[in-house]
Amino acid sequence: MSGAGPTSFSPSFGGPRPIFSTFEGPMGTPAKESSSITKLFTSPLASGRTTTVEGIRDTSEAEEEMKDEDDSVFTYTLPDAPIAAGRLRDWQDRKRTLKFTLPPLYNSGIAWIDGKKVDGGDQVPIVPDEVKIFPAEIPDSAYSDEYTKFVVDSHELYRALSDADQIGEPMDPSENILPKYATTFLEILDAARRRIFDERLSEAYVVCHCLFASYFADPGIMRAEAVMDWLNQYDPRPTTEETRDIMTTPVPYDEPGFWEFVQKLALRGLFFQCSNCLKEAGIPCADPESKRALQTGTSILETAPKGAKAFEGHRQWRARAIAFGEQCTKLSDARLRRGLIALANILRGDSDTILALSESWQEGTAALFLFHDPAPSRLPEYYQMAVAEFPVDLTVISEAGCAAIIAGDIPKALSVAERLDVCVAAHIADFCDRQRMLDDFYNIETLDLPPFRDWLFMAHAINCCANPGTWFIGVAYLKDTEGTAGLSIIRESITHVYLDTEATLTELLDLCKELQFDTEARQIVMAWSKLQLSRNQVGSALEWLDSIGNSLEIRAITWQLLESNLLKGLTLPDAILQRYLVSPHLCPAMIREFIAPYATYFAFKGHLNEGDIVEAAQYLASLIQFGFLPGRFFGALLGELLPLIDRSQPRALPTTELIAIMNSLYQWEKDTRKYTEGIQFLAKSLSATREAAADMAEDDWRVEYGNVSAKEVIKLVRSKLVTEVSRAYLEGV
Amino acid sequence: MNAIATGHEDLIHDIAYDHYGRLLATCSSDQFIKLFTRVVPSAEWTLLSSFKAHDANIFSLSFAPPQYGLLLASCSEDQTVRVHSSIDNGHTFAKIATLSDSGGPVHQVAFAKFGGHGLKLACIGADGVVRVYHAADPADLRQWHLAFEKVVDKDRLLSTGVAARDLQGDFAVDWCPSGTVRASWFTYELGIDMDDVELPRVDRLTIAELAVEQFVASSMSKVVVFRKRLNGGIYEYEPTEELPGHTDIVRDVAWASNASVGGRYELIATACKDGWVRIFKLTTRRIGGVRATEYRNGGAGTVSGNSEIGADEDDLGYEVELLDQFDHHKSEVWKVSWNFSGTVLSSSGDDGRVRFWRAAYTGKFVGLGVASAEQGSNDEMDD
Repeated sequence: MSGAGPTSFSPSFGGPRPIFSTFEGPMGTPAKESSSITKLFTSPLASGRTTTVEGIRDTSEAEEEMKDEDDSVFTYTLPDAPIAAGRLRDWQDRKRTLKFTLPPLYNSGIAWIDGKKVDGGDQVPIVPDEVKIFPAEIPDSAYSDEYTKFVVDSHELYRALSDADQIGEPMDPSENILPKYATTFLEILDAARRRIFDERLSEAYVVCHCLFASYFADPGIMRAEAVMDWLNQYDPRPTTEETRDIMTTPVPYDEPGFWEFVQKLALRGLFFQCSNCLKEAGIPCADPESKRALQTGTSILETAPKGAKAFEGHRQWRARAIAFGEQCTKLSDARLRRGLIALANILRGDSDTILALSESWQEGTAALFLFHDPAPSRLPEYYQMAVAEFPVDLTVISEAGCAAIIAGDIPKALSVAERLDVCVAAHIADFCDRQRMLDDFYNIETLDLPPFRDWLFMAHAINCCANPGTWFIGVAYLKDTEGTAGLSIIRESITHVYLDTEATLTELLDLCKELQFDTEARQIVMAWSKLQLSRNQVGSALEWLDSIGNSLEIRAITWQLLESNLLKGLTLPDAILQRYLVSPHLCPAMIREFIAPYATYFAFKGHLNEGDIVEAAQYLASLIQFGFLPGRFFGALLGELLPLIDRSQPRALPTTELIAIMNSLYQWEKDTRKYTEGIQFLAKSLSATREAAADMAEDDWRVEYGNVSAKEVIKLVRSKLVTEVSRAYLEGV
Repeated sequence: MNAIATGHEDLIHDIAYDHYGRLLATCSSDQFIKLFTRVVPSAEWTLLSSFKAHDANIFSLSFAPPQYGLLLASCSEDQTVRVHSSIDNGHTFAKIATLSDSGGPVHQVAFAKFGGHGLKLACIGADGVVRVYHAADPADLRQWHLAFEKVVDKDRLLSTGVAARDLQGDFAVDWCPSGTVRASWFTYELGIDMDDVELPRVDRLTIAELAVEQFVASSMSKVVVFRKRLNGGIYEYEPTEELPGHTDIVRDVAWASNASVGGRYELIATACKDGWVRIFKLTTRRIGGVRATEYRNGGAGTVSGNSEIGADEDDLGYEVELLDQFDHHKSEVWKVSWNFSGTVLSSSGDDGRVRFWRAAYTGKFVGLGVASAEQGSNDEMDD
């Protein structure tokens, strides 16, 4: 053992504080004035100071100062880092720089190397590493699978707690459900840190455990016990090695460190171990007084008050310890007397003894709390006494957090916890908020800021949103925050969620409906319809566009369908589109209106394939004469007419239709823009035939006319139309 | 995840993600654009397609919002902006438009991040002119018209003309990404609650969007906010505020989402050759006759309006405040990038490091971590 614990128990002990203090006064020597470090964690409970946003600012500024002084922020090396160690200058001499960009939603971006002067051409030869890209994550923000499980489990507990509790309702202490949920959360966190082996998560566990022990102890145990349990888990003493070194010797009592070992057991509230140690140590009790004193000591240890009623029994038990100390002063065996008196001093809560035997502020605080007076209101006072002896090591983040908790500065503790793990910080803030521990913090200074609990949840939710698989958890948290920021974040991120399945789409649209995000819903539906189009699910795309009344897009798609078919030949429609084409009455009105030209073309092709040329010709003729037909399609549709007006087969169109088509042709040719567009499109259509002759259907009119120019095709159509009209006259119809 | 060989034959100048972050495009001096797709669940990037997009160095890329399909804009030293479209999820791209109004190499291109009123694209090049193009018909993205052009730094252009090839220069542009600002501006402008306005939803949306389309552009050391404002009955872009204090060439600008602050203010970050990363806070204010630029304490301070570009007296505008500035790179800073919520900023530069800054509770930014491209930098004290 090392540190402040004395090994000598003489009254002249020259350590920092004599363990043989008088029995005068409850607390012995007053605590020293707080050091500059402890000032940072001045307890609002002890000093009457109201916790303010300055507390948070202090932490941020301390962080910033630390960063400015030694720039100790977390640094990691990019995988396959392209700059050799110590060769940064050489790399810079190559006129290179590093660039990095973050993606729209996720926390993992890409870094790459660029030249510093590219306008004039880069003269430095490129090396392979310079044309690589380097994935890089925002520190402490990317979730592993194990961490995702922790996030999910935490969220489930949060939901359960929210269902069971109503924020703001004053709670009857006996019906306080928070300790039970706090214990469960701690178990979830403990399991996560054991799975993940992350140092920061383990530190966050220490802070969380400290907070729950200090403020959310199970009603079945005394709070002082809970704090000591926290310490014994966080920093177990005596260690297994120390116990073995003493207790496995033939006569433990003869070991020089025996009393130090016993006192440490007592100081840590390990009463049964301490009692057993005294019984089994082979202490020679030469006289009855020694034997009686030893029996008294073990009896006191074994009857230490525990559990829910420990608080009431403490005063009586302490009185027994005081009497035990007086009893020991009469012992003749000097070594035994000194050892048992020191033990008695611990048990009666003598602050000088406790602080002299303690090795850290945590140990001193927890022992004073357990032995002196376990009233929760005195915890910050004990903390002040302990830190006067053992300054808080602010370089250990968890220690800074625990110090703030014990001091009663909860906002600062949460701020420190946030530096370790924002998920943990948010959840413990929620517990504090439900227990009304942050009420004093929400004051005039924080009017322009969101409630601290909400801010932490927002920070956590942003991480959830930026990690695959936890977006909806992030949204659930954001919905529970006050003000508009949470909803704004949902609004900002909702359109970035990849629409992998229709189920995702439906969930997002339901959320948009719930939150009245009409614009975003439209954007999502439009993006989904584009995705459906790229998957050749045209019918589905049309249906979704119809659901948002986007006639412009529906019109564009239906014309594109016709264009595509005129260029590539008839392609089979997807199931939904097929249903609408075959059964127009099933088609929503807007789609039916705009799909009519394509449906007409589709019907024309269908009849043509079935050999029903009269019916086919009727459909084609009506399409050619359609008043709103874009001029660019006219030439290609006339080309489709060629096989139907051939003298080699029966006449397909009546004279009136033939004349009407000729009239349309005349009108089209008169409109220079339409004619030019039509000729260009027809040429493109014919050229597509030549490029994909093998894939062309045998009955495609272009198979026969593929090598004819667009203008020649039109000329041929006109000639055949004239011939057909004359044929009609000759046939007298 | 390990580094990925892109297959480019020259330096990469820009990287752009699609709206979902599942596609990644790179551009290079080799005149090629390459597209990578993120494999789920391994999250690794694999090459999807590659195509020659320009006839010179390609400087910048931008994906359009997904409601317009898979659309990618690129700009180049060949003085053009080109728009490429894919109908097969990025396996192939076809050029659908070439915009060639620039009088010099085009340095940066950016699609407007919000949807609504047609698709817009801003670009800026070595001629120091920021241009906004508009495709009014979403069904025909081959048709773009030049909706706006303006010299960002008039003084600079007059003294140097178009940036010479041997003159170092840089130009950047970025749109305001936030949707919520639109409503907040509208509310502020009229002094009413949007929810109380009895207008058809679409009309309300249209008015609000027209009111506050805004972007930030930099030319050399000058950074200017442009905003669409009502002027003589017509909504048009105007230079409205300047972000002051840059003592050298600004390499990059990035406009953050205002979501995390509930639209209460805007954040714009700049990366500067003078070694500083700056974060400006823009708060909506009624500017009562204040026109002069005031810039205190060699950096931190407040400016309301500007003598050259300031709005009319008693006009609406932003109060510009330097929220934070960092010189931790100790060298030129070349790139700044925000996360989706505007709560994390990354900066990178000549020190071979990516530095991350996060918003603290008070709204100020603090260091979050460093990713180093130099081997052996793990957990080291970084100087």
